[in-house]
Amino acid sequence: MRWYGVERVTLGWCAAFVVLAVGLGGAVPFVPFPMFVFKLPERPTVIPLFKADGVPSSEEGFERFSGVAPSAVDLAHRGYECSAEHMMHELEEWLRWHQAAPGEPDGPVVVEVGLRILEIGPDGRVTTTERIDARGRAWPAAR
Amino acid sequence: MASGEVTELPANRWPRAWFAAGLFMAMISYNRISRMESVPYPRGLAAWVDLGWAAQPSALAGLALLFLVAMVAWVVRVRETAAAVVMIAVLWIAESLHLSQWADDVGGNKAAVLPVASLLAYTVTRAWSRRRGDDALTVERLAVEAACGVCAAAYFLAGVSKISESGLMWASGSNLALHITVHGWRGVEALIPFRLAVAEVLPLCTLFGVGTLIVECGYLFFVVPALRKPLSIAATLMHLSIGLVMGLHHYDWMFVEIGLAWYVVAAPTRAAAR
Repeated sequence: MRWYGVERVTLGWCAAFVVLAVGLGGAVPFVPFPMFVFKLPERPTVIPLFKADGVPSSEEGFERFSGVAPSAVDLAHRGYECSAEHMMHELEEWLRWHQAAPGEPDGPVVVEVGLRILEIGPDGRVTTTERIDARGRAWPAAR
Repeated sequence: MASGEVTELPANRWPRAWFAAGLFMAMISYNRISRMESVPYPRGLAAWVDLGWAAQPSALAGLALLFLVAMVAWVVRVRETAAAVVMIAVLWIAESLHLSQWADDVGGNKAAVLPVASLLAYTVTRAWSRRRGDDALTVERLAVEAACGVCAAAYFLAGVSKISESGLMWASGSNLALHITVHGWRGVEALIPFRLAVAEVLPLCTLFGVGTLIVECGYLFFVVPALRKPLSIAATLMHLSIGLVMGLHHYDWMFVEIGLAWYVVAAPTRAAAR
């Protein structure tokens, strides 16, 4: 079959991928469905919030945390949607592996952990509010 | 294969290198597993076999090196099938480790979907065509066509996924503005104010949404050789704008689609091949 130069083998693999993905709903490795969804949310959506001395920052710039346990990250985020769950887990994991040793002095930086809550307002624009769940201290990460 | 037989058109060396660059970016996308050192929640291949050894830093470095060697071998066509199998195996191990990181199943790493699936289609079809006794250029053409079929399906399904979960309202400016804000906070700090400013301009966000659906759903036409280059240009612009505005960098997919679109797959004559 040569419709506009289309080969049977092209159509065959294309159809096989679609059928496998949709039929098995992502059960086959590297053949996911759905993917890259970026769903239109029905409720407010959240992403993790990390601040250092009041400024939004990356947690990876800090270590030896005190007063901020990994459990401070609201992995369940009940009542909210989250289209980037991995961000929550990354923050939780970083805090888990970088707690201060017992007896170690508190770091100089005030850190805050919580949620950034995003909602589509009546005018269609995104409104952002912050919820701080825990406050503690940390040291700048050794480079 | 007879010695001296033409196995590749010179024009296809660069597209092949682009395709390999996509595979390389897919491997890079698994960089987070270098922090694991154990397999706390076995999923994927790790649910069936012990991959604890692979999570060790020295083993991960070894796997990365093995992948690089296989990638170079594949590009220069030395033990091509074995090289492809090695790359797919390493990426499958990486994917399994990625899935096994956290108690919650946050899903697979989509970055590797197109590179791995298209390489698999290429390799299987190449083996089938060789076994059938096709000449070398036909083998290559059919293998590339198979990969193009997977490429068309993968982008198409990404578009269909959006519509099936959210309807056509997925393309609304509000939805795009929300997702730009979600992801815009990550990555290069200097770009965050720019990204948040873009999210404020709803007509522009609507344009991004509509454009994305048109490109992804329209990618089904990638099966038509004559439409590959225009579709590739559209997809490349889409990937670059997503990288700039959202901070989501899928050069893994981008390099693969560029490589496939610029492959010369028309059945050439021997004279043309020289």
